[in-house]
Amino acid sequence: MVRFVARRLLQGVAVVFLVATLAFILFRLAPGDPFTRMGDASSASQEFKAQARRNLGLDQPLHTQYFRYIANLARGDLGMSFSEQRPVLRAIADRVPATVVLAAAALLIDFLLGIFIGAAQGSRAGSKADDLLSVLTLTLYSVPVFWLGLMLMLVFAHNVGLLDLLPATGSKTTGVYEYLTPLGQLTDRIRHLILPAVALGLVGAAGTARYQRAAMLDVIRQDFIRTARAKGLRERSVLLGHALRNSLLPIITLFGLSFPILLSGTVLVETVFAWPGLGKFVVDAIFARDYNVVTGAVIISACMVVLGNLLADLLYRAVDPRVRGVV
Amino acid sequence: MSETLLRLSRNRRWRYGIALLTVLGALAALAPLLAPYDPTAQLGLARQLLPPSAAHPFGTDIFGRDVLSRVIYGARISFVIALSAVLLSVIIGTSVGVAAGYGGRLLDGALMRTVDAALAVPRVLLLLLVLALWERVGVASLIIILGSTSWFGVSRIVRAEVLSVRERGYMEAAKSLGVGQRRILSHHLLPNITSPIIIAATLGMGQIVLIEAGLSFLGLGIQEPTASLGRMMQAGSALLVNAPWTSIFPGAIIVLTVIGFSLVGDGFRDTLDPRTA
Repeated sequence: MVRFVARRLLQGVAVVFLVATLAFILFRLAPGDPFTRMGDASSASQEFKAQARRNLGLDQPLHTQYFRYIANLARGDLGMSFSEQRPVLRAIADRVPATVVLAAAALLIDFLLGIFIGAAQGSRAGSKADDLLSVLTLTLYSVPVFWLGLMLMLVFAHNVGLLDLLPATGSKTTGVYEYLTPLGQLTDRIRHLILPAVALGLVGAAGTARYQRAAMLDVIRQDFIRTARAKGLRERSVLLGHALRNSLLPIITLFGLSFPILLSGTVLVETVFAWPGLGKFVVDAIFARDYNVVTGAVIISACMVVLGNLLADLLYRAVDPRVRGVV
Repeated sequence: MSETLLRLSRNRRWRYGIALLTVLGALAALAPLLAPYDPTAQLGLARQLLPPSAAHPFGTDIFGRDVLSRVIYGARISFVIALSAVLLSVIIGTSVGVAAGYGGRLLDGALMRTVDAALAVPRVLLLLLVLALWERVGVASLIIILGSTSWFGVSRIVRAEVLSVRERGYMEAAKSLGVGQRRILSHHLLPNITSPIIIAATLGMGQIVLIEAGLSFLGLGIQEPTASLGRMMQAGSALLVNAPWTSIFPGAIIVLTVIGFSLVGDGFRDTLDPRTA
């Protein structure tokens, strides 16, 4: 167990290292040098420019720059954020919790709803209800997540929507939040979370349902299901106790694969709902030409993906006894 | 080949998908003939933000431009980008996949570890980094950027297929008959791995349409005044209360396009992939 985790963590470090190298190469391939890209330098004096380049280490040969960059990275130093005048890592760390909360809520909706719909479809394959749900999941699967967000706002949000039920943007009510009771603060945060999490979760649920339906169909065709039916078990316990349980295995793999897609989605959803997470931070950083933040976010998100995959693997081992013996 | 076509035409999803894509594709291809107005023409102050009407079925935007015409031209650009970017990604992905599956363990390991790393980066973030560094891009560079960041999945599929096809009897036979390396690749290997490539490519097109719209929505894809569905929705999101039609219709067209590609892709999978049939 420990060996397994250690091995996977080591592989994860290798992946993150490659991602960092990729980012470095992209950075150097791009037109202009990092200094001129930071802003208009036309009015700066020659001495100032030369000094600034020296400070940034740009006068060093490329391989020296690369080794310094990797060495800094290993120490957790992602450089400075110019728009915030503080280390990138700290600026990012302030945003990660909001993104994790949003992603976790979306994952919950994604898998609960997706597994429920897919299992219902798989156990009644070919029926009218199955067809109808297939149309629904196909449509949701094809919806741009940010557009779904806008449409949800149009129906449910304060001052925008037809129903005026939930706040449209942000993660808490500014100016009021500080005066609420702890319970009131929690409710306020949850109310803000609902629309973005539903937008992100629904799109994911459509994909999960498609997988779950196929997995359920696969399992239902197998011999042990026939045996369970033959020995007179009620259909309910055949479906829930035997079929559903076994069909969940491939879904755990899907859980691991869904992290990069989820993080891509948060960038768009956070922008739509002004959710103060990592995604919105990156988009703002691009327009502020704060490239260290963009590179840092790419590396941090790769770490999040690696950890997510590890979590999925551990879950897989906990659920499927067959995998436990294999390292 | 004609037998495959017959089987495909019996697949309901495939038929619906092809029908949908034909209509949308015709709309995109014939945009100059079908669009009632010039998509970039500002029709005057009196025609700003008009709700849908007979003269403007999808209404007008904040600059007094006809939304229907812009949606038609936007769909055209989406189609061009999706087709070209997927073509590029299939070419790169197939080459890398064949090289990895056929080129020995060292090359295989190096290529696949790189692909693993690339797949660990959320795609939108990777694209954001590239677009942030290169700044303003035109349609051609956007195609290159999207195509060259979408081949990772394809290369994995192709590699797996190559590894399984490589061991089959006819490959052995061709080799022992003294058939050259290049002819083996082009006549024996590639024809036998096309099905999964077609499936991946079709589903990939829907994904590219969504991603391109997302990037334009963030303000990083195609720039004004060119009509782009994502950009239209970005402008529309600020006018959600006053002019919801400026964001509803571009999104709806995207949904239909992606449904079309998904249906055709599913149909291909049902018909061409023996493992799921």
